[in-house]
Amino acid sequence: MNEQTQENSESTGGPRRFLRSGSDRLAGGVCGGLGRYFGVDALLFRVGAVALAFAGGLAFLVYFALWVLVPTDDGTGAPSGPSPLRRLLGGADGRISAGRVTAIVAAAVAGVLVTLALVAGAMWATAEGGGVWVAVALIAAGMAAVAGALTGRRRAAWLLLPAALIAVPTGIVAAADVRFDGGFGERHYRPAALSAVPAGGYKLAAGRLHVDLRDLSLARGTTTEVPVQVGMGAATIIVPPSVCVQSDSKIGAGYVDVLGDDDGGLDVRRGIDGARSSAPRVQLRADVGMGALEVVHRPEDSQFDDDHDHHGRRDLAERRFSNAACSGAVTG
Amino acid sequence: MTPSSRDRDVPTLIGGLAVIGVGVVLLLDRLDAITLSFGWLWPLLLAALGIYLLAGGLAQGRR
Repeated sequence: MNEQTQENSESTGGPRRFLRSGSDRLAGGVCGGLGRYFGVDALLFRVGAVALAFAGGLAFLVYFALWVLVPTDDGTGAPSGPSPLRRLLGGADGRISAGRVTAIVAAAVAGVLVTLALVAGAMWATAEGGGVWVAVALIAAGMAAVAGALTGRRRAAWLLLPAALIAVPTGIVAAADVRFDGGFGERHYRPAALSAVPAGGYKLAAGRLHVDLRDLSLARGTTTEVPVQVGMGAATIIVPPSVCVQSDSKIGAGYVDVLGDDDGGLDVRRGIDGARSSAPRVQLRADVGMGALEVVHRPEDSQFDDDHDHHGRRDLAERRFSNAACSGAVTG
Repeated sequence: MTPSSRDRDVPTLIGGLAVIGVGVVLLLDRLDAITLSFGWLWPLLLAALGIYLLAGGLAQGRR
């Protein structure tokens, strides 16, 4: 410890000040600063931060907060200047002025609007089938950044921010396989005959889909295919108890509940097969990008509708194994 | 004039390569050459971010 540091800590008599490391850093110098503050190897904090990042992501928030709020060590134990946040609001001298704050707020609002436009535009274009062009634009932005970096143009770094803002939502839409087919809003279908069931199935780009199959007259020993595709939203399929439901459901991100057989999360694939009875069958092929799908016997059993009273709704435990027609327990 | 290696912006170079990599994966998915799932997406994006931060930190430490 040099003279200045001793002077800093001895003159105040207070606790040591936590500063981000200016030399031992991989990103913002937070773990390096913590390591020096507690007198342990910074690697321990880095490993801990990575572990916490996978346990809910809180570490990202804490790291970012420390990054913007804590100044950097100048190498002598004293801050090299104001914290990044204070420098942002007050410039190099750290003095906060109303004009500068107003300009920053205006820039932040504009930044948020541009960000929303980029995110929504990328998601929309990808879901509408223009994902190839979005990917090509990303590659072009990456190549421009590389070219700028190789030729010493520092401004090329700014290409990376919009590229990231486009890449993440595009990736999410692509991974969930969201497709905008079939319109938007709320759709109700109640086919009275098999001929009224669309050959391509029921499709909805985004919104709420209800398909009520209770009026269909299905013969024993027959199988009726019912494809359902929802880009973003929720679908409720209502089948009578006398029908055996077999299903193959694919949910990119969300929840599926087929007569009590439920699952949720990311990349959900859920199937029901192996029916033993000769009851009429509905073979459901569901593809939901982001959202939820449920198959119920009665509209009041729906978990997603709030527009009818819940007095007739059975709880989850009661709805278990209600696909009884598949085992021959219910005859129509 | 050719910039010296000192003039080259290594973090932007690595970040640009990471963006190209993510773009290529998305392009292959959209062309049905591969099937992208969330199980692949999060590691891909986190790896790209991590490589960029590492490059930035290492470049800063070298200065």
